[in-house]
Amino acid sequence: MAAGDNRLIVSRSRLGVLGLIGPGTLWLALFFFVPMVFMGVVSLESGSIDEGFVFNWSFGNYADAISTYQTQFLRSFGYGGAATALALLIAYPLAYAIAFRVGRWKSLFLFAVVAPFFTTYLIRTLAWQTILSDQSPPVDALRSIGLIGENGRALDTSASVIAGLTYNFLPFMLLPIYANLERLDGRLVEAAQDLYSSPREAFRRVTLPRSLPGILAGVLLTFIPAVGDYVNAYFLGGPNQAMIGNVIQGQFLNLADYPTAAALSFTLMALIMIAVVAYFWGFGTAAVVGGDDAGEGQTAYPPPDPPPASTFLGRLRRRALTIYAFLATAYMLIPIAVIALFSFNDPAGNFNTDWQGFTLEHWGDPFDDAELTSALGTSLELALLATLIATALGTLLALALVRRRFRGRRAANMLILVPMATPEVVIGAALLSMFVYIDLSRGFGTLLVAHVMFSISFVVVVIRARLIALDPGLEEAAADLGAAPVSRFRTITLPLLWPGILAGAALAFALSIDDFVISNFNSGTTVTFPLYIFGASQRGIRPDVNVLATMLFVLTVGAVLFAIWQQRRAERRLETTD
Amino acid sequence: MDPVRDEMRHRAIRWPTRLLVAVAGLAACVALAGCGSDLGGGDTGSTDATVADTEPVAGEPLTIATAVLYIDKSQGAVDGPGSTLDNFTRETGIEVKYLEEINSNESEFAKLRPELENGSSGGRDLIVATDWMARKYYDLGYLQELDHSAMPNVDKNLIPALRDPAFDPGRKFSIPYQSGMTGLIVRTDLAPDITSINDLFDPKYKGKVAMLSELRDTVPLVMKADGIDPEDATKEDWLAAIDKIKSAVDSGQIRDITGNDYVDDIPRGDLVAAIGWSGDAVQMQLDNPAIEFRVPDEGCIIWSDDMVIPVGAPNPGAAYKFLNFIYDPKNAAQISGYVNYTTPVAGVKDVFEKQGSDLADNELIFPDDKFTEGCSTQPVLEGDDATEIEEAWQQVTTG
Repeated sequence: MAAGDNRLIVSRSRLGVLGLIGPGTLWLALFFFVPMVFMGVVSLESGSIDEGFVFNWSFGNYADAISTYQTQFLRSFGYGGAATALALLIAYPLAYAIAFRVGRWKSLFLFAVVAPFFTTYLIRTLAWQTILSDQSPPVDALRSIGLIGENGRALDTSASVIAGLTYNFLPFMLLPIYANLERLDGRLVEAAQDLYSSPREAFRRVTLPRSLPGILAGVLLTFIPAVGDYVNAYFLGGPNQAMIGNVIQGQFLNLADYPTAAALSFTLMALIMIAVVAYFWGFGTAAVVGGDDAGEGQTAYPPPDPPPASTFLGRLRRRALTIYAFLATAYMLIPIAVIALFSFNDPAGNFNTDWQGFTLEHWGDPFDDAELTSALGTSLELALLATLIATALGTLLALALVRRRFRGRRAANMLILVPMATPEVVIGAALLSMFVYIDLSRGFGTLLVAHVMFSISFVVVVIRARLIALDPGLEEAAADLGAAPVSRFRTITLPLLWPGILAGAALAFALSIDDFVISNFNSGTTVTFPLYIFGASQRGIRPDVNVLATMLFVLTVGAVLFAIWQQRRAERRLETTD
Repeated sequence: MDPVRDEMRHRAIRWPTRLLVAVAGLAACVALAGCGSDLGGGDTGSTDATVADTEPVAGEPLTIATAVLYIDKSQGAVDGPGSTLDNFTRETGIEVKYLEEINSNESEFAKLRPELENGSSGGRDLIVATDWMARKYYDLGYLQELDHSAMPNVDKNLIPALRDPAFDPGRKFSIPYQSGMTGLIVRTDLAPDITSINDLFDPKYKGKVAMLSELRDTVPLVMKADGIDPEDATKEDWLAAIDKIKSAVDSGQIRDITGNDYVDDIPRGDLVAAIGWSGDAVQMQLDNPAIEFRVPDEGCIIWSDDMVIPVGAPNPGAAYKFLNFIYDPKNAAQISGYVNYTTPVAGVKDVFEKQGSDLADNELIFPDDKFTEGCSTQPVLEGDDATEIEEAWQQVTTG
């Protein structure tokens, strides 16, 4: 090993690297890159559905696309950028507080923040519609303090779309920052303070730079998919807030103008990747793959607590971050509260919008609707399997990308981001075409394939951020003591990596439960929960749906509380046997 | 064993290899594309469709692709005891695979198209599609034609108004499942004087009205309000109407153009009126009697969600049996009582009257001629005009 190169364990065995990157890369190559090549060909075709499409190198499609939809492109980057900045501002202090201020309740906070995303985004967004509607108490309050005009409204504005984007991508910003921050070597902060630096300075010069890989990961996971988003603009905005994702949906579904839709998609992906490359260039790729400087702690040394205070205000300041954590978590749970509230509603018709009266009727028999329950069961099964596979593949891939040197590593680090930048309608349709072409019948299997495919990138980015913060010194020590690679991984790397893996898995689960467009294309005759809900929303979402969504949330949080309780018991048992 | 020279030789062979790989890859891609870019390679519409076979396949189920909440349920399931599907199975012995997979005409079309191009329907015997979408499927050669002798109840009981629509004269390929009207849904307590589509352009209601994103509902209504008959409208008429709507959107007069999101916005009061569907109004009224469906002064649009038999259907004979079954007024009434849209089957009103149900008096389910005076069906858009109009409309909905 070269001197000064103690960040990386240079691979002795090329087979080892292949084993790590092989499965994940193969999955993405087969189920993302090949379909996208199909799409690339389509983007150069011209014609119509009635007369047929013909491949004739029509690069004009791209020129037309860019000139016609400039406004929507600019708007999308604007909204995406604003949402990313807001998400960063909200998530960073929250991640810090969860990592260092809430002690053993870490997991609870994390899951409380992420669990709302295990319900379909349609229901969450409908809840936000209720909260932001013209006559709602919160909006009235905003009007009374002058943030909204007399005749103004909150919904169907740029603000509501950005707010929706920020909210829906907050876990994607929070989890990587948390996973990375938690590994911070607090002794360095302590050292800085011993050398007379103020807490603020210590943060700026020690903590912040070391948390850059996490921030970068969060920014990537938020900005890239947010720019191509269509859901928030669709539900929370009007025609004047349409983003490029909405245009692409419309081109594809309403106009069946596949070449234009494909050209728009590739343009979007190219623009996003240019922005990302520029960002890397500014911050240096070290932030992505780790330099010599990042995170050198072995076990967790949290930064020192702020000094005890004597005045009330001082005590308040001391606890400021913890209070913030509670407030921010409460904000994340607002839609869940509304969803839960309306599960007790008693509408006479099919629509569950106006409060009609309180009833426990729907809680009495939540699994009454056979089709709804079966759809939910299918989605849960699908999400669990997809999460398992995506997390496994993603972990291996992340290990290779951070710890191994191989040709094309830098390119791979970039390419892993491309699936996140691709509009769903295009990747869904491309995948469907490929399945039809190879005569693979659509159903649970193809759904699983698709779900794993779009989750891998997210998992990789999250785990990468965590891995960068780990010191390979421990693994090297184990190797020096004769441990085989697998056993090293099992006893050293895995436990240290575990919070990152869990974070990646949580995101993968949320993505799978939420997925609508790609699933719609590739589900064959299988009906998933989001598909059912979306269809139902046009006829009426009865309170049964709210009951199921609330139950899902309660179960998740309950499981975490149980795990914490078990952990405490185990710790107590250890203490008493000393 | 000169490491430097080895390295240089290594480098020397790297570039050509890379180039070769790239070129080979590109060639492979183009070849693949030529062989089977399913999204390209469209078929020209075929009008020599075959007639669907009338004999059900023994032991095989009937597979229906439809929307959510479009048939009655019993004990929480669509095939629960006493439900329409259950009754059908008991009468004919045919099991039903009921797929509630359709969210919108367009998404179902995009999903099925690659298969239909290859002559397969993915196992579906019946698909529900609105008039204009049914016509689109047919023009592209994706449907089988219907043998009416296998469904005598249809010929007997289909209401006269729907027997010979412009888009499918003689009902060669489509049979209505449920019908509906598109008109004004109004909060009579907040905007009692809205009776015409033009009232939606009244500055008094700026930012409180919405229109449907369905091109063939909204624009014909706007044209009717300006005295143009949609059946006779020229491309310029369409584009002018679309322009009028676009100005209203840009100025903020029209708050939103969407699917039926008004079902949440109107009860909440975010909207005082919208262009909407009659069946939704029936549901909204149950919770807020101030919500009313009004046929605009200049008339409404009447449409149907039809059932069609796609190419490659594995059991079309069973499909005929089902269509015949639901055109029995007794069965049609059971569906209608649950779905609350306009029924295309004659005799259902009598069934409700005999049961003493007040649905018999609901003029949204049984609109009389006076109610639907001046209403038009959805016009057919074809060819290059259609493309130009659709693109102009896209500009409005995704400004």
